[in-house]
Amino acid sequence: MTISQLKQSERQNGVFSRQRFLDYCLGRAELAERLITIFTEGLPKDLLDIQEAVEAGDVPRIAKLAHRLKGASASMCAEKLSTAAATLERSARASDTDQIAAGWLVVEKEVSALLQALRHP
Amino acid sequence: MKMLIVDDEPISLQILGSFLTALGYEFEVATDGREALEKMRHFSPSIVISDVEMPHMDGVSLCREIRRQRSIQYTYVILVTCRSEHESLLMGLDAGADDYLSKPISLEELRLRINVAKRLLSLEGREMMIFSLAKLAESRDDDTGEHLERVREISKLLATELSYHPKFAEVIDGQFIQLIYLTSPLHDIGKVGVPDKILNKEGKLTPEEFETMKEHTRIGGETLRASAQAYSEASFLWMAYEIAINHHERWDGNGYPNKLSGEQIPLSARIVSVADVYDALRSKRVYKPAFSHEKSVGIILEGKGTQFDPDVVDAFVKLESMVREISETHQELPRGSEVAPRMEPTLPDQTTLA
Repeated sequence: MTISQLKQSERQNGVFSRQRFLDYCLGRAELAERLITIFTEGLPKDLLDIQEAVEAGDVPRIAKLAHRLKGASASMCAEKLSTAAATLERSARASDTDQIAAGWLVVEKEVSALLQALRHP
Repeated sequence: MKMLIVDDEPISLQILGSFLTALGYEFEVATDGREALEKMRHFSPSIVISDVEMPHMDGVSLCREIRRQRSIQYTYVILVTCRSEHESLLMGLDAGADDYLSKPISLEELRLRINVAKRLLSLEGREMMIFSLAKLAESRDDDTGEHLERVREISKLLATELSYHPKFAEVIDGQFIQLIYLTSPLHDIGKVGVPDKILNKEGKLTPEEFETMKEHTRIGGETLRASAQAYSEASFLWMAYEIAINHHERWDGNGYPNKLSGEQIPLSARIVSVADVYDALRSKRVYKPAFSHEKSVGIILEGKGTQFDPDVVDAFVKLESMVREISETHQELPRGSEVAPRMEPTLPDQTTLA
């Protein structure tokens, strides 16, 4: 798969598009890279915090952390992760433990995919 | 134009800050509602762009607090939500937010929303100009105080209360309330046409002088009507005209200039009439002392159904403690200072401008 095909694939599957994000940042490469760095460095901790909250059954904290992840990933144009976080947040607010567990797995998967996309442009 | 952006999430702050810089706006940053309020103690942003969910104080609470605080200038509030947060959006609008943006914010949408804000803020400039004109008209007599401030606050209070009355629910909406607040200060603008010797006369007016004085309603009304006809898109001028020409009419038809009665008198004028008379009663005049709040309320009640619309009086009595608070908050000189304003509203059981 060529790089352009990979980027096309990224756009299509909604994980992350570096070019689209660069466009969103008004073509300012240094801004785009700074934001990607901030986001990438913070994601593992965000994920760990959510995991701890899920394991502790702390539903309000799950909702709060999922909300925060939803907003940050929306700002990064990472639509799939934002959608997954939104679903987890809704499940937490509804105190639906089965859906929380399922939602958490989806969030984990999307974070992994996003980190992959971000670290391998 | 200065802005304040509020978000606890660093990515969103960076993006929004970069966009505002690209659009040429200055801004300050806060990471939650509490910090935002603290910053607003030291500078007055024209626009606040705030995320909804934040620690310590969220965006909805911040908006509510901004609206609660009296401020010299209006602060336009834009809330930033994620697309799925419809309920938060409704709460924010109910708390007084003016607009919203959804993440991810686009530069073009941000630019257009700020343009909307700038248009609305320029309308606020109109309000200041209108009030300045009213103050100028008022400055020719000795009363240079806060009569206009009190009248408009009381008028707004009464209109808001009456908006819940089944009889007026369809007439009094948010726009009506805003307009009565904006235009009630113009009620005596016609005094610019009354000669100084009558306007500032300390003794009792002769019958001829009184007739001249009464003309201030026609002068003010006709001036405003001409403006309303010339600028038909300026709907506020029509209410200003209604109030200026009719605020001395009486419910029983014994007022002036046209001896209108009952609901022939526009509701706006019926409301301002009560506010204006109450404030006159609470002020000292050359022929009377300043009356206490209790006595003034009693006199207004005596005028129910004769001088005043009974429903407006009922609303006034229901809110009399709040009216009192307005009266005692907006004071220029100690209440009871000697003034001789000639644009005296007709006080119940008194000869006008005696």
